[in-house]
Amino acid sequence: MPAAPRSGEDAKFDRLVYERVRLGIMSALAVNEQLSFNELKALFDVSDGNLSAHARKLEEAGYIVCSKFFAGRRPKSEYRLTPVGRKALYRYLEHIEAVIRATRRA
Amino acid sequence: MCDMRSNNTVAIHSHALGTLNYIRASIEAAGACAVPGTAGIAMGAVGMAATILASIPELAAYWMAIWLIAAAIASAVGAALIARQRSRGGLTLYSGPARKFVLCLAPPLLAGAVLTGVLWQAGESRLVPGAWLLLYGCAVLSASMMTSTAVMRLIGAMGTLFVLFGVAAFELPLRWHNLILGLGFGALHLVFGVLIGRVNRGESAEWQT
Repeated sequence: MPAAPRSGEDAKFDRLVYERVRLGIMSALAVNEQLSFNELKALFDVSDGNLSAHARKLEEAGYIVCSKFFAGRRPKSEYRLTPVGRKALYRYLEHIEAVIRATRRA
Repeated sequence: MCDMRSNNTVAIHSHALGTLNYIRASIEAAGACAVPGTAGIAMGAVGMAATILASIPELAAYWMAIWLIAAAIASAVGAALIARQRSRGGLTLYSGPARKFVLCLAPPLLAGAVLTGVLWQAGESRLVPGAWLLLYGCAVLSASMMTSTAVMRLIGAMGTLFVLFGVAAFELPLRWHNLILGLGFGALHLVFGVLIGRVNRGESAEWQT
């Protein structure tokens, strides 16, 4: 049976959420109202630049929002998952579950 | 051809399972509050000091005041040590997992504070040690759900022992109350503080290798 053609939205979704760090960021934000840059960095043990790049991609897609502010003299960035991002994460989980169900049946 | 398809199926299946496990691990790590063993040890030391003070015959009448002051000191020290651990990791002090940890602890502790006042006013202060141990155990048990899987069972076991000590305290005669408070807030904190410290050290060594 030929594979169903992917819609444009699915292809974009694949590229964005499939990557490990981005998937981790979205999973972590799904169970926390907000997490700071440092909290995410500590969770995934990635460099500042690497985390910034991944977070920016998710921000550009509208999956997460970042609020920047000063706590005293220190600049802080806090991230939240948007409803669109939550929906994308759930859709990705559904895909994974579907794959597991299909391969178990096979 | 058939073998190849079977191999692909296994690869896709294990990749999908691996992804699910990764998501689960990320969620667990993001939802867990790190509890340093030193917090338990310090709180246990304060509990031991309170036990010794309250066992001095001249001070025995002030046992409740001694234990209330000890509770305030132990809470402040425990909170400061958890805050220090979070700030060392560059983490916000009262956000995400730490906030959930405090919110889990708070209701039983608040109930304990109200009950202490009610029992004291009703002249039933003999029931206070049991209520303290029981409700503190409930607080620890519910907060254990917000800790990392590595220490969750240990903290849960400590909470269960506090609950059992609380139940026992209701049945024990008055003269045993200071001892059982010491065994709970002193000894249990000390022993589990050491055990949690060992688990945490083992974990960080694992990460470094």
